[in-house]
Amino acid sequence: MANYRDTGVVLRTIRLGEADRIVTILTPEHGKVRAVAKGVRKVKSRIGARLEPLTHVDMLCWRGRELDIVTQVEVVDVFRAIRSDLARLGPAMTMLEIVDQVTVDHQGSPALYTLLVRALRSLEATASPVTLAAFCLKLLMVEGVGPSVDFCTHCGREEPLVAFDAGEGGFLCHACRRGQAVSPEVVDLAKRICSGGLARALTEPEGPTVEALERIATSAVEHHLDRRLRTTRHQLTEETTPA
Amino acid sequence: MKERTVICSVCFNIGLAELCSICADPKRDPSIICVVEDPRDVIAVEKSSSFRGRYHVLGGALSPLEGIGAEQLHVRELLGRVERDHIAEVIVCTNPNLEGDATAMYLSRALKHTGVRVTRIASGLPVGADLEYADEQTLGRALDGRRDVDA
Repeated sequence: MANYRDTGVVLRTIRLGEADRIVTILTPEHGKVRAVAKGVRKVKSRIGARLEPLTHVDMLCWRGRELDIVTQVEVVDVFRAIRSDLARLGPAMTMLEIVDQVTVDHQGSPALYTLLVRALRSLEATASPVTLAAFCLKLLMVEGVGPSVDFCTHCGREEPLVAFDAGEGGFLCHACRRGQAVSPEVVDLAKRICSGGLARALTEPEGPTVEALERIATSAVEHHLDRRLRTTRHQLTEETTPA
Repeated sequence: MKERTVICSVCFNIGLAELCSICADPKRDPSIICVVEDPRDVIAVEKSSSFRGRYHVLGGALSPLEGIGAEQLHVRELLGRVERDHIAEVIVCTNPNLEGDATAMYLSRALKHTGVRVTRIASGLPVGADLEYADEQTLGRALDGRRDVDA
């Protein structure tokens, strides 16, 4: 079948030639798809606005040899609130980058797609500062490398956990501690996220606990990707001083 | 051709001298700056003949996904110009896409302390187009930015 239809989230776009773009889309049925969107950079393109990164779409594609071709696009969700708020746009961009990095072409699971869509919808609705950290932890779980939060990764004992090391794969007790020292609040927040208390975890207000967990979670993702994330290096909200 | 062109020391547009022809033109309003991504955008805005101020070429747009942050663009220089040259208005004329919009929000935040008026170019339907073929995002923005008809 040369044509296929699927939903998906646009992860990134690259300019191609004079007026085209290559869009990378995560779909539930076809994995990560890379497709050419023809003429979308022209002012009069109808589908250009629908194929911006961070758009949830329903699309029709023509299957090509190397790249597919997008022929029709309908918008499911544009995430307007995220787009108009730098404090939410940054984390959303990081999520898109992570998803793009953990998948290869034509690979990707429905679970990953669902996770991304849910995380974006939650960020759109609540602006919770915990969203990115929660997304990272859940993603590691979906990928089968979720950090251990209930017992020490090294010795397996249920001692109080005081440190986190991405190489060890989770939190560590006092005797085995290495890597980053963490507060009991951070461990508790991670536990809630990983074991069914997500809704309550998302109500956690901004503060050092949330920031610490986000650092740990993104560093764990970076450890598994074996690569630094670009989007966490340039914070959209940081200040520039005049020359 | 390439040997004779230089980048303007004030606005980073391409010109033939240290100061580009627009920055050197005394008839242009020095209190309004139009911020664009690329020298080609200067040409596009010039063609409209609707703008009589000066420009500032950023050299791109903020793009976290490509690893492009404010330090890779001429943002610092823009802040310097605004603080030094008594600018009344900064028009953010970046592309109406994710990166361009993020850049606009970033600049508005970065310029807040100077008290300068920061505006964003309107987004809407191309002249001569048919409404029924418009995409919902563009049409939505056009409705948000509607204005009174004064006949």
